[in-house]
Amino acid sequence: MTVKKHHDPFLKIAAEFLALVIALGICAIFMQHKISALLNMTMEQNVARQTASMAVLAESQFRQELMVLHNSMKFLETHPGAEDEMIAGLAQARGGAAVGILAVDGTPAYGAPLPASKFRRLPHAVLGHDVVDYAEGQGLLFAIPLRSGDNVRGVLWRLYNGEQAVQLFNLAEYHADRKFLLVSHDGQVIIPYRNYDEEDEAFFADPSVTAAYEKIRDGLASAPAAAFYTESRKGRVFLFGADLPETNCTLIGFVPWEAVAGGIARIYTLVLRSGALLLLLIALTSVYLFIVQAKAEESDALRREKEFSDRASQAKSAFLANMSHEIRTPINAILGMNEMILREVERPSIREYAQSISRAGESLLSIINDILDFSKIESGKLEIFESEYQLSRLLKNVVAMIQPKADAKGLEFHIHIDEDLPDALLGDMMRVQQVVINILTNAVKYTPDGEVNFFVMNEKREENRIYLSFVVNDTGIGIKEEDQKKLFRDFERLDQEKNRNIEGTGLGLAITSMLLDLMGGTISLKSIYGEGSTFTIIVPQTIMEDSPIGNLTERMSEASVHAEQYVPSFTAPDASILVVDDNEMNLLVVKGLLKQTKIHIDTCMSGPECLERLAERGYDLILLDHMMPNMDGVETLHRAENLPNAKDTPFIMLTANAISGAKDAFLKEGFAAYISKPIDSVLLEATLVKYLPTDKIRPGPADEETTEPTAAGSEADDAEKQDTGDLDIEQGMKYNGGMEDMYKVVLGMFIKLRPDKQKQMKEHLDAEDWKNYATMLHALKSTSMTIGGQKCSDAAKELELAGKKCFAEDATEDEKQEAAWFIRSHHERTMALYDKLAQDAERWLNKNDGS
Amino acid sequence: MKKWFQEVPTWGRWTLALLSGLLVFGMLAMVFGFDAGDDRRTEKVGFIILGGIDEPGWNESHYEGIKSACETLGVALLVREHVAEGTGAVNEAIRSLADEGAGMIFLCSYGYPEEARETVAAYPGIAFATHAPSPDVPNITSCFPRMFQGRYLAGALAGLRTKTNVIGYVAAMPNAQMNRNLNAFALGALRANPNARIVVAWTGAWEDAEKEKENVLQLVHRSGADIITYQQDDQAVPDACETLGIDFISVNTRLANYPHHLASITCRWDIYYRHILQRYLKGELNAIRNRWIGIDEGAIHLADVSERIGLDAGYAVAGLRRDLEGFHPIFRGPIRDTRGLLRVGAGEVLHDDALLSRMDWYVEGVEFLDR
Repeated sequence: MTVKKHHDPFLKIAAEFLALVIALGICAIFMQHKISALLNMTMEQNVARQTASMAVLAESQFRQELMVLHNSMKFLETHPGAEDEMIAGLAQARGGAAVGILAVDGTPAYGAPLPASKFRRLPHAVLGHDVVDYAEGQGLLFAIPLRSGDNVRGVLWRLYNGEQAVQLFNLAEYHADRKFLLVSHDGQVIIPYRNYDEEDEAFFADPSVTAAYEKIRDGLASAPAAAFYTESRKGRVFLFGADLPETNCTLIGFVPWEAVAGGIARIYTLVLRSGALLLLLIALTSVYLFIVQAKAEESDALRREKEFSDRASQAKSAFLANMSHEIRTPINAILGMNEMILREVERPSIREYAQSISRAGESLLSIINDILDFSKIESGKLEIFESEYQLSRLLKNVVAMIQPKADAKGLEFHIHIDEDLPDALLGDMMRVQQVVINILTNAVKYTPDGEVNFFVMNEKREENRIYLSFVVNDTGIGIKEEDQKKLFRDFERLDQEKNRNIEGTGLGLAITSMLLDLMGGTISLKSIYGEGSTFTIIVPQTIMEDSPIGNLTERMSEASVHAEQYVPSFTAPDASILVVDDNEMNLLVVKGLLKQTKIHIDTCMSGPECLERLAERGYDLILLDHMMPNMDGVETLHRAENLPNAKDTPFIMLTANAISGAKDAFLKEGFAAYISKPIDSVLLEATLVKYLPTDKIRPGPADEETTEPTAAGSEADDAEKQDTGDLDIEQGMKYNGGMEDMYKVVLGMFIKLRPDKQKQMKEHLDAEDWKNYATMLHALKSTSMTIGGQKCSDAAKELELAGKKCFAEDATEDEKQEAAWFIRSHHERTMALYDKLAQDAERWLNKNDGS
Repeated sequence: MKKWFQEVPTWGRWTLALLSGLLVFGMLAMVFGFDAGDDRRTEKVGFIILGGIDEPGWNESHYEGIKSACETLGVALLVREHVAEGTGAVNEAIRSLADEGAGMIFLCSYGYPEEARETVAAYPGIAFATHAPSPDVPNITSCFPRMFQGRYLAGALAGLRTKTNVIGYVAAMPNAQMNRNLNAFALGALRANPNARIVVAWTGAWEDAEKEKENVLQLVHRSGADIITYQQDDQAVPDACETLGIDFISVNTRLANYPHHLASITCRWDIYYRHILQRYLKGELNAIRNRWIGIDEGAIHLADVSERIGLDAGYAVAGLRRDLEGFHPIFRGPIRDTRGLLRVGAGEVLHDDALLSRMDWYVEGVEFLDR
């Protein structure tokens, strides 16, 4: 599966990060601006408040001056006519300021003259109000009304020119870093600060400063004081102003930004720095989150892909399981029949053919098993079933399996088995054997010439546990170093080009490795490309009995490599069993496999039939097929359990359904054991030995009877040839592998099936269903031939050909009619031959049944 | 952390994203909305008035004035109208305005300050102002428009204009304010025309159309007045004058479209209120007890002067107006009262304080219509 292509995650993260940094940066600039504006605003307010209090100070100085005048007025009230004296006193007290009294019409009455019209606020004094007024070129005037009862009779005033005012009302002393000026509402400087020079004048004339003062003026319309931040020729400054109430004077000035900010400036810096730090932190956190998110997305994608592939894998496993079942059923028949050929035929050429079939079949079966195992392992359904077994038997099986292969390739196969190994072990023999065979098979497969060495050793022992070490060393093609890792993967086959003609599924090592995992074992590999490989398998097994295995190597090499003539492991002539299967061939196979055990075998082809039989009599054991129409094996078992004859009878399941877990399921249903198809004769016999009553079993083959079939066959051949009519016994026996019993069974079936078959043929003929007719005649042709009915076979063949012509696409209408006519005119004759053959067979059977 | 994040289901991640979005939005809102933190709250000014703010004349002109001033200065205006005098309603109005956060309250009826004395004292944090004389409480200031300056000019105009030398004056009832207006008018008329007579007809009510009309008839027919002015809250007098075909000088109402209208004595209430509000905003409103707002602040005008008065009279009045800003006060001596008592001596000027509350006399030359 290809992984969906993503954009480079780094680029994505970088882009996201960049976008974030830009966004944060903009935010930061805005924030900085805001903070700075806010700070200045706060300081402006602060300065304004301070200015207001300075204005109060200035005002109080003015009040003080007015108070002096009021006191003088009181003096006048008590001392009428002392005006000149008082005026002189007032003038002296303040360094030569002008003092005088005005009449209510503004003309001087006493003291110094005063250009009264220059002071716009002065007339208010006549109405009874205190006046502080500044006139350009004149100076700062203080005036109070002189009262006479409810009336005002004059105005007492004192005037300070510019210089005198500066000296008397300088406010600068209160704040060293602030510069204060007193100006009139129209902007004339009344009292400048000390050292006020051209530069200061220029500063206040500066457009930015003037503009700021415009704003301050506006602000003063509705506030006691105002301040404004600006950048001028004197640097960053706050300009401020406050009107003095009831005068035309305004206190203005400026103060450097630093003087106001002071510690705040440091707080400002601190805020900026911590803000920057915070932004950095956010940025870093974001990067982290981006990365995490990218990973999460990736793992999401992977998970989805995995889900997808899991589903696909499950479908695949199901398909494989299904397919393997479908394939196993026919292989069962092939191998079963072949086994019988091997047992009963002596002619070497036929045996050789049968052995080839056997090898090919087993090879096919092993592939199927591989696939099945793999699907089981993949779906986690494969289990390890531990039972007691003999290591020697395992090794014998292995060697029996590998030796012929090695021989066939002309390889030397050396076996070295540690004599001290314990023989009786507990473990899953089948799986260990499978693993070892897998490795050895590979070694043989990939070794073109040279030798294969097989070592079985004791890796280590822990109390009752032994770590068996199987080492397989070959002089084969070896494995490249870069390929060694791939070796244990599914379907992986190395050097595809080179190894194209080597058979196999490519699953072998994957299964081996997975099986070893399940059993707690390990597999390791050392290989030099072109020189050979060494596989080492280590499997822990439990020791049941500490008796050593002995010199097995020798024993095995003594054994004949040639296929042994089958010898049954036991006989049980008194035992009787029932075999139930809906497939005739399977019944034949079982009967054939157990023939030499002399067990009495009854067969039936369905669940209900089986129940009928059991109602009549009991059996020592019942072999029951699983998948049968109408009533399957499990249901049959459940019904049979209620019958008195079958209460204690062991039922053994025969099934092609080899998917994982099936065994457990069957045992749970009440089956005593389980034999999977294709039936392994050894396993079948072993199972029977285990479940048949012990008193009915006799060990070893029945010596005196082994040769009987052959003898009987030849006798029959000689004695009854002339009496058999159309039936050629010799040919029939030949077709049935020389087994007379088998032949008889086949004959019996032939006879039994005849009426039905004939009826069906007639039906097809009447219906002009040529296709089915031809098929049935084809079957008749074959079966007649198998039992030795050449005449009938030939006649059937003619009809089959004619039948085929009737529905052949390339046949003309004339040809078809001619063929149909041929069939109609010859059908009865053929049927007569069929009848005769059946009668002859029956006759022969009746004659030979007794013998 | 990483594992935790990966275990968060898709909807959870969306929720997280949403929350982060909200958080970011909140932060941005906080940053950009920081101006909301400005502690400069909007000032609120309360305004209590006797009549309805949409009643033409006194009520409407005051309301329009303070409204305009508030708008100019960016101050919120809270109004309590139809607040009757002598019922304690003004105290209730003050309390409700205080509850609403008014920083300054203007009491816009002559009787309010005395009636609300206790309540005003109970709110020392609120600055009070009124156009009427105020009790001796620190947080209330009387702000007097020098309406009498307008009266003075109107008097001069009437003195110059009269043919019969009799000028009628319809007046509600005597009080310091009424008297100073009347006296200023008389001084203006007499200084312009020493032969003039000012005949006053009292109505005894601030609004009494019938009585005012009656007074006008009396002044014209019995006294022979050919110019009438008045101090009433309504417009019954000009209406009556128009009916009779008599020239009149209106007060606080612009009646330039009346054929017999000579001039209007007006107070620019917007300037008056702006002056007061500025003093309040600058924190100096209550710094002095009495505040005068007059012709030099631009608050008082003799407006809509009819072209019929002629150039000479026009120049004369303009000259008087200019003099008022200099050393030519209205109440300069010598001034005698109706009984011949010298109230202001030569070379003296009547003090503003005396104008305020102690004016219980009438300038020589003022007559009263017999009843």
